[in-house]
Amino acid sequence: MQPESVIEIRNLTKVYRDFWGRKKVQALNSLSLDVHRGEVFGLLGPNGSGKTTTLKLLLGLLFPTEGEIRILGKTATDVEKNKYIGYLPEESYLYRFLNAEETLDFYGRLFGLSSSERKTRSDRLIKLVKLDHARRRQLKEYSKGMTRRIGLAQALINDPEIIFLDEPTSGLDPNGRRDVKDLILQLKSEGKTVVMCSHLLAEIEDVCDRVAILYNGELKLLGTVDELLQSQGETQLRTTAIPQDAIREVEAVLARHGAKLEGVSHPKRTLEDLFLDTVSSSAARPGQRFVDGKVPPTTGDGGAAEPAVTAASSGSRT
Amino acid sequence: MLTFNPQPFEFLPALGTWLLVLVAFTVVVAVFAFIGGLLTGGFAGVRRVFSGLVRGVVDLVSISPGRTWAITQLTFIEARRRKAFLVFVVFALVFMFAGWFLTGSEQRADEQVKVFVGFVLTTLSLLILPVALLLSCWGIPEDIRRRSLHTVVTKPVRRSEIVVGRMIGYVGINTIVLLVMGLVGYFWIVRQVPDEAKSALVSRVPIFGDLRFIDREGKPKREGVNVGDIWQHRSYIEGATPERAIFTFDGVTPDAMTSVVVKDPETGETREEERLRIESTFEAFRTYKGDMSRGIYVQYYFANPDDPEKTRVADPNAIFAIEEFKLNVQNIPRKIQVVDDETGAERTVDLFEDVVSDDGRLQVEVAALDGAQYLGMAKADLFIRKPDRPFASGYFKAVFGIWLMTVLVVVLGVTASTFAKGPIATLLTLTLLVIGSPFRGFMDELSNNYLASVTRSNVTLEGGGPLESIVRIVKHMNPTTELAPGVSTTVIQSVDHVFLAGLSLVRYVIPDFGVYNLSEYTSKGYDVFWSTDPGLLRAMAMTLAFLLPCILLGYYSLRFRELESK
Ligand SMILES: Nc1ncnc2c1ncn2[C@@H]1O[C@H](COP(=O)(O)OP(=O)(O)OP(=O)(O)O)[C@@H](O)[C@H]1O
Ligand SMILES: [Mg+2]
Repeated sequence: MQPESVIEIRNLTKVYRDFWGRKKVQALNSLSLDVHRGEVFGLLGPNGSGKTTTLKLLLGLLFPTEGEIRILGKTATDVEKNKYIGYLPEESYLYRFLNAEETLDFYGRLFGLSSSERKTRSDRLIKLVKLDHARRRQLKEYSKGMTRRIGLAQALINDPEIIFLDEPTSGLDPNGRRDVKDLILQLKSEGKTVVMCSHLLAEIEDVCDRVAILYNGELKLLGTVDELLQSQGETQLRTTAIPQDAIREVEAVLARHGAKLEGVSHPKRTLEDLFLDTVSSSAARPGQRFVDGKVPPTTGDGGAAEPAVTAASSGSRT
Repeated sequence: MLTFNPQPFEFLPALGTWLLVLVAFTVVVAVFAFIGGLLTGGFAGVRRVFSGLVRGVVDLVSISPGRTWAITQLTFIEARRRKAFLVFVVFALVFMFAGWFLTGSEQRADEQVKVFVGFVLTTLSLLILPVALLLSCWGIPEDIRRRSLHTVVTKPVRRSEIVVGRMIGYVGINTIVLLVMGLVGYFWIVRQVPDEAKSALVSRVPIFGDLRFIDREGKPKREGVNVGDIWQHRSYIEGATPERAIFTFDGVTPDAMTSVVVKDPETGETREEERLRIESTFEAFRTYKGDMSRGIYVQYYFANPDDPEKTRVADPNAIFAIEEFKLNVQNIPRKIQVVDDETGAERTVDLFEDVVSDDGRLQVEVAALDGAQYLGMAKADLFIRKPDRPFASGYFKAVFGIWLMTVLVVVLGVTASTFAKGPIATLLTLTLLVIGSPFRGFMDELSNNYLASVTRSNVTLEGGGPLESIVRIVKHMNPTTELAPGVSTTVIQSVDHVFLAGLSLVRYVIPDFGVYNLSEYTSKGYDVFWSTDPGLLRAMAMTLAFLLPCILLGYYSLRFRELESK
């Protein structure tokens, strides 16, 4: 079954121009991708690769130089779509003279929520992001992490269908990161779509269904996390504990079914490896781009890091 | 004496002009937008422009009060937390010290009242204008700079709601500030004015009339060159001739009469009676010295303007010697005893039943009685004074006028701030203020003369347009001599044509801040009029006229603006 696309990006190009219309930066180059309903989508890429630009284009804060965007079937500048989306900006752009309650109340009003509804929702969200102790303090007194938290709460005030999170965990303490990760998984379980940028690959690896890697405004890699992290040409066997001298005879042991076979799979690289590979190969070979469904072969030998209890065998190809 | 000339203000024609200008500008802008769309995007571009325009209309019509009010309240909290209300402290300081300087002056009581009232109203507008200007010009740009607007626009807020919400917010803040300062100012005046001057603390309600002159033969008299400015310009009638100055008043009804204390000449008792109170200031021009101990004698005649000959009555009591440069007050009784010239019979004339026309018009003819002496007067020199209203009436109407001006400043400021950064927006609004008030008269005169010279063949633009004038100045040329025909003259005159035609158009989009100058009425002891120019209705019309175009402009520029890139 074809998954339903809630976001469609076609040939999106963005050129930043200066006051006189002269080209300053080409931030995005012919980006095309779809985000499906109910998935957690990760946008990766080094600094300045165009992740934030993509999100801002999606939200109508920037106008595309070329290309088209559809969100829930509407254009990016259509205010109607805003009812169903939530956005956590890269830095929290909130009114610093408001306190947490007023902030949520204000944004709640913009969605036309009734005052009792606003009250219950902001109560719940303030508890959710653990700002209960500071709900009456003005945001200008907040620490970076606290500002992030209220920003996150603000993005959820309308119970959105699609949530855009630009580096949601930056500035958060380990507990906070943990909470955000849990939150994203919870949103996913509620059927929401999440689009997030992050530099913390372990996190992305844990929560994202699909990722796209941007480099210099070009899409370099796109696919499900599982697919992308499978390394070809390798097979991984996981067994119960076996005697030390038997390791040398693993194949024989297997052939003789001396040990119970617990699973056969492709060994996974970490997303970090994949990311670094993609970036370095993109730097080495500029102009190479991800084209519909085809992952360009990655260099590097892969399988560098294995868990201690894992025995890997190379040679047998799948 | 007022320094300007209150003209009747007709609301409907003004509305018509407004609509015409609005439609014309909309059409021009739309045409340019379509051409722009066609040039940049071909047919698709035209379609984009069209759908943009349509969506603009939708966005403007479907403004949500709830969201707008949310923005308004945000604006309020912002001003409060950013301590905008500190302006009160400045205000309080000014007033604490002003008392010392203003009192103790050795002026006449009513002059002192003028000083106090003028001072308070000037201070009000001088303090409120910067508040309005700075708040409105810096709000949205600051919001964009701090990017707090970015989060707002990712919610289902229409840009029109942001513009309108901000406008209402700033107007609200200014209203509060002005109201508090206005009240404080009022009580300050009432307390500061010395007791003996309290009687001058009223709002006089004059009925001004139209003034014309007739000469010895009873024909309309041509006045000097300065016809347009009769308010300022006095014309003269000669004494002991049939020359008359004729004032025609409208709205003269019995309730225009004032109750005055009169002394019965026989019994010496005093009682209150309703009288029609006519106040005047005349200027005498003596061709010989005469009796310097008394003023020139003046007599009033009253008549129905529709049939002056049949209805003319002379009030025998309304003959008096004028006091120059002072107010002459004549209280005309309703019943006037007249002696018929021909029969010598005495009869009683009822001013309202027998003289004033059915629709309330009355003609007052002024005659000078001393031969070879001249009596000078202008339009505002003679008026019917209706019963006074309390001082608060004129005062708060003037404050309302200031309020209307701040509303316009806020509207202009917010609009400018949707496409310019704070300092630029401030400068722009300030420029409009400056062009709109001190330079306004100059600009109007220039373009009126130009329009007259274009539309009427017998009028020429004396001295030409600005470029031609400069050339004349440099060449030391007389403004009436023709420039030598030639290429350079044609060029100069075409440039001037374009400039003046442009100016005549631009005049419509530059607000006339002169209409808000209502404080002069109050400080000179008058009530503020409704339907004159300047007057309240005119001021309201001016503010309203700019509201819709500004919201439109603000909305479109905020919408087509890429918030993120700068
Ligand atoms: N307002 C702007 N004006 C001009 N150039 C800009 C602007 N914003 C971003 N850029 C440029 O566009 C490119 C992409 O920037 P973007 O912010 O999208 O990167 P990013 O992937 O979000 O980076 P990071 O990981 O650091 O957040 C960069 O080269 C940046 O310099
Ligand atoms: Mg970024």
